Amino acid sequence: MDVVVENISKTFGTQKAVDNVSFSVRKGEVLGILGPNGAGKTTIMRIITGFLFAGSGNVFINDLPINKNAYKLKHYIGYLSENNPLYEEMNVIDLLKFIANIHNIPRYKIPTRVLDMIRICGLENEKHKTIRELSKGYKQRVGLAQALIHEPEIIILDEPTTGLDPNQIVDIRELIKEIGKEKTIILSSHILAEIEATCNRVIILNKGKIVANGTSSELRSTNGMKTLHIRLEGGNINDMYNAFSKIENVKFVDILDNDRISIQVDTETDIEKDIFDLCNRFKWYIKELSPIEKGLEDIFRQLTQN
Amino acid sequence: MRIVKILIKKELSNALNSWTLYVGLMVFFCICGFYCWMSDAGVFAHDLASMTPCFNVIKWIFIFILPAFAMRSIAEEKRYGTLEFLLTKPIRTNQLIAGKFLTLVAFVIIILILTLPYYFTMIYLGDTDSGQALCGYMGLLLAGTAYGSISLFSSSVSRNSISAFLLGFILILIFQFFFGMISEITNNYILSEIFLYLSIDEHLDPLLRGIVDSRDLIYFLSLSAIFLFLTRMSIVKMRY
Repeated sequence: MDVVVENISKTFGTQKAVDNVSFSVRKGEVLGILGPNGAGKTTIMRIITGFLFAGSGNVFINDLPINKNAYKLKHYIGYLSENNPLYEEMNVIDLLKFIANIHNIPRYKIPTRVLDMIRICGLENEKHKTIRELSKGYKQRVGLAQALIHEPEIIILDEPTTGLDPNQIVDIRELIKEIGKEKTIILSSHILAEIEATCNRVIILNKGKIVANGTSSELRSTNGMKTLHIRLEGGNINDMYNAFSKIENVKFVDILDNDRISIQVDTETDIEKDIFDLCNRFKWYIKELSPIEKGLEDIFRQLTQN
Repeated sequence: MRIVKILIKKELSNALNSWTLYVGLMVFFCICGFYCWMSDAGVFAHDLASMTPCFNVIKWIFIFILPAFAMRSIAEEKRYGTLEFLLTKPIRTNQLIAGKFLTLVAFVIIILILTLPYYFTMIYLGDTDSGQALCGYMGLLLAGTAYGSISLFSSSVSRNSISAFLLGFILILIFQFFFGMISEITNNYILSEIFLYLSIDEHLDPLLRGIVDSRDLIYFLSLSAIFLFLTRMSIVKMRY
């Protein structure tokens, strides 16, 4: 099922939480939403799930608007919210049965589905405990289990790995990747490595607006600049600095070491020929010429810092 | 109706698993039993086998017990985020409110059923008016549903259970007591009639005495409907 978010805006009091946001997610795609606190990630997710009503704009799931078909479309959505609210007084099995009943899973299938989810989410030893007795990591697993129990077509996960230990995080990432092959997944996280590891596409939000949208590699390349580290032999580092500064397309030069400099140029520019010509002219030997890839973290910081 | 049944089952099972319900019921029966059988206003003091003393005390206990039972229902769901949990599932706001409200009605029915031994004792002791007793039970059920809807509304507009209880209690007191009082002290005839009509006592007392008037039934049903509608408004507003 495809999810299309069209020009949604949402205001709380005087604060605009989401400002004219549009994007779409196709079946088999895992979309990551990144953004600093208060960027509007949770609000967007709540609007897609039909819990909040958008101030303007709409969300379409398989071409059906959520505001008019919320009841029907909620059957296709599995949602794990940010704080993972659960009924603390219920035990794991009862909670999963309750959710399975709400999703109208046939009665004879419920025990199997509950046991499947307990196995998939690693809750075998905790299944008879009440939610109150569980650690944060296990609560998160129960949250995931309830979101997945009805085999939803669209899975929305708000910070799904919060509170999990590194082994559990890897397990959950694998699970998301596996499920993501056949479903539509939207997930938000503060952990950039997680987004890079699990998502096909990333949206970066800042102050309720989309500031970047694309695959991790697209984001890196659309960032506008590429960095090259160059190690040279046979000359003085200050002469090298001056010479590189004079190349027309070089935007920024920095001395890294006494034989190494860093330059920044536009992504589109083919600077390598100029570097070779320069070195040839001054009889410098190139010992290293390496492009430095920017991490998602650098891009995130660059796009979201005020 | 399927969703409403699931919600009622969940609410009732949570309530029955909590010791507070049993403590509440114990306190209820202590007060009710003492007033009915042992106090100066009781059956033996008047030497009359009537359910009226029992109904009178239940009416007042309902004012405390229903806001107490309903105070957590929506306020705590909002506070702990489980309202979001429920409303992102295929549950309509109306179904959610119906589930909560019918659980309260079920609670009222359970309390009233548990007082049936009093009625059978009365029959054993003397010539009890069964018609009046039936009307009384109906009146208490209607009043209980009205109190329940008021309490549910209070819970929906409150951030925690204590404020939900206090608001529910005050609102019920206003309908139960203050409207009647204002009606008595005001000199304006029209205002006096309006406040008298709004007073719960004005409509409940005839039923407890065994007089069934459709206007009283309409009053209780519309009072419940109005507060359920306000509860819905409050939940929907929160989502805008």
